[in-house]
Formats: sequence, C-alpha cells, structure tokens
Amino acid sequence: MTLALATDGLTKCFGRQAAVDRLSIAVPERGIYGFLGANGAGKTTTLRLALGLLRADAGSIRLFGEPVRRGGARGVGALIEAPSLYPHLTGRENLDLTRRLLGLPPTEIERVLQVVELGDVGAKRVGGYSLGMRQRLAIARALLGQPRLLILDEPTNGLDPEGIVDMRALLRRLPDAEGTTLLVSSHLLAEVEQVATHVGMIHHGRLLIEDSLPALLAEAPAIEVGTADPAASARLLRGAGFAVSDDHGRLVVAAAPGASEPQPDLVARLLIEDGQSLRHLARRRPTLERVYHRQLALAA
Amino acid sequence: MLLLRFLIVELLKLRRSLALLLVTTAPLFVMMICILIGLHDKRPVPLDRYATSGAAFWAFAMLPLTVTALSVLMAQMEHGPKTWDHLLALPGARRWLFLAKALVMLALVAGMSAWLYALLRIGAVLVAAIHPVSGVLDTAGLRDMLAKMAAAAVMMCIIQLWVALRFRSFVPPLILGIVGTFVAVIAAAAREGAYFPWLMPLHILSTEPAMQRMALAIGFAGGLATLAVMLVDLSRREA
Repeated sequence: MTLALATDGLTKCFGRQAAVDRLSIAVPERGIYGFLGANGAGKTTTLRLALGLLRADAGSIRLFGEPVRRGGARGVGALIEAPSLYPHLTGRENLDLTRRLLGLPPTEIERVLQVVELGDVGAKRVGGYSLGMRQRLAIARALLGQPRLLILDEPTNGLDPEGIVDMRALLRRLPDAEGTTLLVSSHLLAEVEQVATHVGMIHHGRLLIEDSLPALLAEAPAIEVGTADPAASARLLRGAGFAVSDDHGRLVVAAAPGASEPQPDLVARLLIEDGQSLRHLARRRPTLERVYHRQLALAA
Repeated sequence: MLLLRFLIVELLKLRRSLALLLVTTAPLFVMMICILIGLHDKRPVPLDRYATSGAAFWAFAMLPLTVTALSVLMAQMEHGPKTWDHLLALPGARRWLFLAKALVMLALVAGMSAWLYALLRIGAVLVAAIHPVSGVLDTAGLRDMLAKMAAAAVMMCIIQLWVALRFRSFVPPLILGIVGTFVAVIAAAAREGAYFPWLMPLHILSTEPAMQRMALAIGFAGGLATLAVMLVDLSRREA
C-alpha cells in the first residue's frame, strides 16, 4: 500500500507537555483519512509538524516516502484551523496570490473555483463571504496545483448545518475529482464517519487506534433493549444465554453462543412473557463514537 | 525567481489596503501643514525655508510615525487573518517572504519620499500663486535631502518591521514607534543620542557633511545588517 503520509515515533513537546507523543500513523494514498480526537488531543500539532511549520523533537515524518523538511512541503495543500484569507481582496485575488507563489498558470484559479462551486462569487471581496464560503475558498486555495495530499484541519468548524452538508459533499468529491488524498482532522466523529475511508484516533498525543473505517465498525451484531427494569431484564436474558452489557441504562444484547444474530424476536418474546415492560428494541448500529469511547476505556 | 514572485505578491496585497492609503495621505498632510504655515506668515514666504521646514517636519515626526503605522498595517495584514501557516507552508517560502516584506516596506518609504518631493513642489507653486514668495525652490537639493532621509531611515524601518512581524499584537510595534519618536526628541540634545536610529533621517538636515555621512552609514548600512539578522531570526522561528 502506498502511503501519502507516514509518521514514526513522532514527538513534539511544548515545555514539559508532550503535545504529540511517539505517534505513528499511516495515511494511505487516494482515500479520506479521518484524524480524530478531542480538542487538545494533538491533531493540529501533528498536522503542523507534517507541514514543516514545527520542528519535531523526535521521530520522523514522510510524505510520499520522502522525509519532510522544514520550510514547506511540495505537493501538499493545507487548510489549518481557520480559513486565513485577505478580507480586503476578492476571492480570485486571494487565489491569485498563491497561484503566483506556486508559479501556476492563471487558468488554475477558475479550475479550483469550479471545484468548490464559488465561480459566481470569485469577484466579491472575501470580507463579505460567509464562513462556509471562506472555508471553501481556503480549500480552493489549497487545491491550487493539484496537490497529491490535502490536509484539512477541522474543515466543518463553525459551519451552519447547510454549510456542513456542502462541505461533506465537497470532501467526498475531492479524491476522485482531484486525484488527491485527504487528511481531515476533526473532533466531530459522526461527521468524519460519513466521509472517511480510514480513521486514526488520538488522545493526549498518542494513537488510540488506526484502521479502515469498515474494519473499525465491524463489531459483532447486537441489539439495544430498553425496559422499565433493566437489571431484572439483564438477569433474565443472561439466564437465557445472551451476553448482555449496560450502556447508559440501555441493555446491549449480543448473540447467544452458537447463534450468528442476537435474535430480536426471541429477546422480545422472553421479556414480554416475563412481564417486563418493553420500551425500546432496535438493532445496534456500530459508530465511530462507540469505537472511540471503547478505545478510551481500554487506554485508561 | 522566488523572491520576485514574493515581491509581486506583496505589492498585490496592498490593493485597497490601509497601508496604501497611509502611504498616499501621510506626505499630503506634510504638504498641507507647510502650505498653511507659509500662508500664515504676513511676509513673503522664503521658498528655501518652506522646503527645509517640510523636510524637517517629515524627518522629525511624520516619517517615524508613518513608518510605525506602516509596519503595523503590513504585519497585521498577515497576523489579522492568520495567514502565516499558509504562507510558511509553501515550499521554500520563509526567507524570501520576510525579505520581500522588508523590501516592499523600504520601497513604500522611498515612494513616500518621492511623493513628498512632488507634493512639496506642487505646494510651492500653490503658495506662490496665492501669497508673495521670496527666493527659488532648490528642487535638486530637496530631492537629494529626501532621498538621503529615506536611505538613513532604513534601520528604523527594519527594526519597526521586525517587531511588528514578531509579535501578533499590534501594541509592541506601536509602543516602540511612539517611544522611538519621542525619545528622539530628547536624544537629539545628547551627544550619545546622535546614534539613535530614529534620529538618522533628521541628521540629514545637518550642515556638517560628517554628520550626514554618519547618518547614512548607520541608517542605511546598519539597516541592511539589521535586515540580515531579522531574516535569520524570523526564518528560524516556529510558526
């Protein structure tokens, strides 16, 4: 598998605090890698290290197999934290500055404006753009020169629901439309779950888990049960051979030994025949949020 | 090649900016003051004094204060929208970016001096049209004086820009500029104060050629040396 970005034992300390602690991640080429973690987990620091904006205290970073040197990386476009644009200039003028610095032809401006669907407002001053438009313009700027890797740090931050939907659609389109690899950092797990092909989770600068999204979400099928008396219901189901766990008052019922499915009809019949008041019964959908919390619990 | 790209980009950033407005209006203000002072006098206005007072007002107050404001506006153009990450992540950008910023700032100061020269000439024509004048305007002398002042101001400009780029807040460069301008008033009276960077443009008004040479050496050559140190410092910093 070709890697767009790989870190090995990457460490960065600010004073005595390790913001990134022996982090090793592998971002496969041509996919969308969701880089997840709580605020302050070390995501932005990792991305700044990858872009050569910070010096690592230990470890290494490779972009497409080449070690990252301080002072900018070729073939990488980035949007770090906020869409940093010049408000007194128009959208096109903002793009033109970066285009000139990269030595690209003027046609690049219209191309990237079309990709982010801002062609009709390119002549307006950025000061009058909404946050969603600024985010898209900053992505357009990062796309100048068709970078092989696009690093987006919290691209949905501060966006309204409509802006989030637009951004999600844009992110899904980019790998095929631009032939680029996306590395998207976010603390919004549900959001990343909808677009990512691979996921890496970090906590306190350390990697919790990293895998493809389907692999992370491939947990044993289970059903969620809510009753008036969860403790009694749990006893009853365990007695019938089901593996039962408690998740904030809801019972999570896994398949009985030897069965491939948790058999919701059987669970419902058992509870009703026992006189339990059944309030909720649903197939439990695996989510990144559950994976994240499970990994946090394991790490603790 | 990369420097040329950065220079063009830095110039393009000035479109519709406050920095450009400042560069245009500050010399205009000096011209208006000089005309008003000239017209206030009941006697014929000696044009040589009109030119010298304009240059003195420029060197003593307006140039350092304008350089202060200009450095703040140029640096805040990046600090404000937080464009450093984007700029510094571009391949091979660091040193050229800061060098281009310094060169554009120096070019703007030189441009202001040229603009002031033109305005003072226009002002002399206006004064002569509505008020009696005496003598003739030494245009070559005025041009040389303003050019030397711009050259002697290089060190002050670079120090101001360095501080403005180094600190995200606009307060440190603003304080430096205001304090520098007013300390220059006191320093002008002390022998040791002769080397104060903010006084170099003012020394160009001196009748002693040695003083002028010293101002040019410290202001210009010292400014270039300061620029080199600034580039090393800013290029090495983490974004």
